[in-house]
Amino acid sequence: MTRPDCHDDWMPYLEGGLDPETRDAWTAHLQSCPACAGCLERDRQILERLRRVEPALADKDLRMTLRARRAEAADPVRRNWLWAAAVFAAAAGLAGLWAAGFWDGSGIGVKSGPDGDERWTGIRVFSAPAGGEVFPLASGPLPAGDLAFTYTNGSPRPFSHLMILAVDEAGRIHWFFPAFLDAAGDPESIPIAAGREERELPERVRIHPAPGRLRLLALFTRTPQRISQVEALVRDLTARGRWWQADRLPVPDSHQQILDFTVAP
Amino acid sequence: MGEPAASALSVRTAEDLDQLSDDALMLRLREGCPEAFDELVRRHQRGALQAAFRFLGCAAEAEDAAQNAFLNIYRRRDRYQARGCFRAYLFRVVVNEARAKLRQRRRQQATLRRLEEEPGTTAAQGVEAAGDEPLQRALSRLPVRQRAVIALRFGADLPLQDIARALRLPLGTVKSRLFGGLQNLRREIQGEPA
Repeated sequence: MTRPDCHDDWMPYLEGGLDPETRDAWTAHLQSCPACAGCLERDRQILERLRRVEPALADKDLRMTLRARRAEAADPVRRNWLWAAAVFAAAAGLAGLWAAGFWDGSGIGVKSGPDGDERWTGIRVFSAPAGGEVFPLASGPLPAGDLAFTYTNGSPRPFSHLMILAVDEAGRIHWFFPAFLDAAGDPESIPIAAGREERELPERVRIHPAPGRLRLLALFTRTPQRISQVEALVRDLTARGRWWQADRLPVPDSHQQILDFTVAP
Repeated sequence: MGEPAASALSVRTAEDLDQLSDDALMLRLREGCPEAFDELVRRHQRGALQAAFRFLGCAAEAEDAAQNAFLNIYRRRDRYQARGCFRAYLFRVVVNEARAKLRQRRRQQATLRRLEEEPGTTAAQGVEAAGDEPLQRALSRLPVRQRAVIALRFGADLPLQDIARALRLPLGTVKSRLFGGLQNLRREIQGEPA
């Protein structure tokens, strides 16, 4: 490097780490600076070595081995059943103590406990097809495409966390919130803000449910809940054939809202 | 009346499956179509193996980590959410498995060191590197956080945005780890004996 505008590190130039103007200036500088051209070549070679395929793994095909290994893989549902039995036994004793909610099936403004302090707690579901018009959904046919959600959390004693899930006719659980992106994880319900204004949840989500009934449940709580805990409660109800009749999960200090949809074949 | 629509699943061919998106394959897998999993492995195994190798520097360990990552995804197939992020989801699991291998290796090396200290015993040290040994040695000296970004960028050829999703980091953090890591890597390589 011989000039003040010389650079020793050309990695950002090669890897798209510069804004267009800076990149143009560096390109112009290269034309007249053999020292920098040398540095560029040195860095280019390092990146090329990093991209080179490791020969010992180049032709490796994992499919046969994985076929054998996955036969040994335990079905996660089985493990959940054992856990569900224990959780439900404990929860069932408490279930009778909680006041039941009343569902009007249309979203925000759901009636609730005797003092009405959850009147302003609820969600609304919207169909949000790509490039199409967004419109709110009440119970009924579920259109194909993305769904968007808003919530209101305006009771005097607001809730702090929210989960939204759905169970389809085949008994499969679909999670809207929290996002389930880590195979090894057990995420918690998402934190929510308090207030009577309607707030949009950040993501649009698409699910592919089995045809038939689809029951969507919004679970507002004052402590975070784990996906595994809620799944265990849902699976217990579905196993006993009571999911479609139940109007809430046995979760203490919660506000719950159910929306029933139908999914066309 | 014809057969129920569900029976169409069982007659899907491999040719059909390779037309489907990763999300659609995961949904097929959930519906009980194991061939969908084979197709996902076929598509992503090379990236998973190479990324794990760049992270670990050992072909055998990389293969183990990649296998474990795919199995983990298979086991948790019922929980997958189709949000168009399968690659980020897969490579997060790959990085987690590679980190687990690294921890396991460190424990084994600690045991080996203890064994060596005992009179009358000998033990091999370190991991046998493959391929470009100076490069792998230099990579192994980088902080794990920088190495993970470099492994995903150059091993799996992931765009920075996907790396940010996979590692749950802001894009700016991914960039700074990538360029900081590459700078460190160059210094390490330059310090290596020719």
